[in-house]
Amino acid sequence: MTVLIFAQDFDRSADQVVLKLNERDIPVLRIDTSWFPRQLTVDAELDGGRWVGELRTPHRSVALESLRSAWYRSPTAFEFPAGMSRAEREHANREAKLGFGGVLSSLPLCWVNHPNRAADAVYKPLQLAVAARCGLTVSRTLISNDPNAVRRFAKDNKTGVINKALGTSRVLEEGVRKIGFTRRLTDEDLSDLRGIDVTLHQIQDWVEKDHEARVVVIGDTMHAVGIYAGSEASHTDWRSDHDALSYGVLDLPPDVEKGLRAFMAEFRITYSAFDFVITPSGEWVLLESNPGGQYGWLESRTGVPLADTLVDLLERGEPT
Amino acid sequence: MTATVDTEQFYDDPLAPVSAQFPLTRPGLATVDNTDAPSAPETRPFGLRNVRAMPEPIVPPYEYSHDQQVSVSDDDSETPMVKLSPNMEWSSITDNDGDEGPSEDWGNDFAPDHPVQV
Repeated sequence: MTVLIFAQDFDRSADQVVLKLNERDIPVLRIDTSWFPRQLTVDAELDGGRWVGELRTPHRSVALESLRSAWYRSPTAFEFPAGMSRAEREHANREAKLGFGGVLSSLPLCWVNHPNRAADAVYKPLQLAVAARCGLTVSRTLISNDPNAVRRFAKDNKTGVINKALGTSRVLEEGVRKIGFTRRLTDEDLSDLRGIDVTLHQIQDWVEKDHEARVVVIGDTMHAVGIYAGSEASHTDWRSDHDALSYGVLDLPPDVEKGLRAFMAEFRITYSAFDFVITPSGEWVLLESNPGGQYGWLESRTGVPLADTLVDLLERGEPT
Repeated sequence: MTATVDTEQFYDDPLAPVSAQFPLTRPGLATVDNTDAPSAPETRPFGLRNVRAMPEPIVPPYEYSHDQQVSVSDDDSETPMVKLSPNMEWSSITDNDGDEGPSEDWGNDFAPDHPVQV
């Protein structure tokens, strides 16, 4: 029974998992959807209630019915042959997406994560509502494009508020990559809220923090790693100054663990990386869940066996 | 009466499950081909007010080995990159740009309106 991995060509985490699967003599097929259609062929036929057939690259093939689990890591967009018109590319893309997505997502595998469930779980407002229902503490949050609502919300918190993107904070413009981090809104910001009204913005209370944590949930296993800021920038958003960070393994409070299990069950996902603030009084406040969140650097820094835990899950192959 | 068909609707409806499902990520190391300048403060989303330029991703020379199914050194040895540089700083590659390291977390949210042509 084969493990299917969807990942980009250059991905150290995927490389590591492939090598660990090899060590255990577990067959693996690693593909990237960008190989389709030039180097990836789908041959699937409906047989009763299940698609059978194979995925084929110039180098290997695998029968759909021989798959046990699938790690949907970070496959990239389909790449179509030069010469197609825009309309033709859009048509080809739509057919490929529905064909790939339909056939593969129907397979009764151990999905890490099932792509469609992970897509649901990426909506942060939905995450926060589910997390609160699951008993986790979440930050007071506003989603709005109304400047007056932002000012009203900010007035209600003496520690201040922050603005954080709901999706990726990366943009490509002026020929370069740009990124925006969480930022605390100043009085100057609040007096000039131009641009709030053109789209929705997430505004949250600034939560006083002692340190932060990323909890990586893999199947039934949870690993909590503390992230300690060593600079003002990393205190506001640890992603902004990695060199100033230090790490340590943490014990997860039982009530947080219980809430996370309920959250995972609600979304029916098997993997997620949760970011928390731990307040000076020791309360764990959930910031967000990342169903495709990175974990490799945490293992590198602390030795927590995240890749092995993931390989264990893929090896067991219990349908999700 | 003439009916109009919005041909972009399929991709552009952010709440339509079909457009979000089976998500594919933007090729992380793709060339940045957008040279548009930021718009005026009235039209630029507030959330983009403080974005800053990132350094270009640092990616060591590699090839993808279809035989080993991992990235390997670009010499005859074809040594897996993770064995070649096991202590490589995992954050040395810029956030969200291809490899491991602290990253913007959910990359699979790129549903291209205009699919890639190679």
